[in-house]
Amino acid sequence: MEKLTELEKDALKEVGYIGAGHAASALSKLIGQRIDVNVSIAATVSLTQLPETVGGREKLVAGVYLPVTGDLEGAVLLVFPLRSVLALADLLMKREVGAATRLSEMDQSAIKEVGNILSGSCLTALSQFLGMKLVEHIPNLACDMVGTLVDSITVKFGQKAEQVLVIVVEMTTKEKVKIMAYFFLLFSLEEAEAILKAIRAKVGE
Amino acid sequence: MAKILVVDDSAFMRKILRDILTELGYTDVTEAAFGEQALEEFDKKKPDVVLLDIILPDISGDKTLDKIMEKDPNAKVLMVTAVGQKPMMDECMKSGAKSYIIKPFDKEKIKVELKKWAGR
Repeated sequence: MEKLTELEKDALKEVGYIGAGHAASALSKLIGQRIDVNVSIAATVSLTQLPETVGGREKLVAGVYLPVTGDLEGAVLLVFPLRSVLALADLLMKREVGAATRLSEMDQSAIKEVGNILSGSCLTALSQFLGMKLVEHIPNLACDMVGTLVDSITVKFGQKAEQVLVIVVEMTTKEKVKIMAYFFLLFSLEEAEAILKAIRAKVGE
Repeated sequence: MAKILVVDDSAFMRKILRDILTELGYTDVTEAAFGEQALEEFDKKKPDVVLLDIILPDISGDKTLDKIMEKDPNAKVLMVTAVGQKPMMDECMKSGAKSYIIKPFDKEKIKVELKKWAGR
């Protein structure tokens, strides 16, 4: 997949803002607090570069992986750095932020569901922008080093996914709790070309 | 008081829904985490309304809906979905679902839907 031009990156960032806005609205309903959102990166990276986007292969994260079907087949990987996922769990479970040092079973259920909802928001924005039907399926959660998560995904996508669409979202609650979320949209090479074509057609309008 | 069956594989979402239902005064609530379990509870409890997640780990929510409608064509099933699964909702409505609720839950929306379909 060719690299995006600046105009295409801007278009993707706008889509990211729309999706992130919906996602933040959904999350604020869940935690009962207003959330401000900032989309800091919208670009393409290679699958091997993905860990560096999050801070390095050994960074501990929680990853929610959701298969995607419809007009395209691929997956969303939603990554929360450890500090963010623990804070998010505290907010969802109405605990004081900083209380959790690990995710309980209920916390994990909450994070998977949040992953489902947040990814759905971003995918809806993207599917409306691209004019494509994108449907997400059952979320899976794994907590590990980001390099290990990516390695297991690479087994599935192999050499097919050279470029990954990434949208980095920073959410801040009213009480200044920051939650970082990295949305990685993984598709095979053929699907990624179709996405790029759709972005270019849209930007060219 | 109406009997409600909540079907969702997420313990967290079942908890959120149960808390909302309790606030709304619905205390006869049964939970199921799987499609097959939902069908067993449907037979056992004969709920007035089923709140059914579209994504389930064993048989999918839409297939669970089909089986419920086979058991009882008058069943009141409200599908529960995240926004990215909305395309599947149209199919569920054609299969007999009465309405759908999008996560995260809006208490007022649930109140209106249950008043309409639970009748009380």
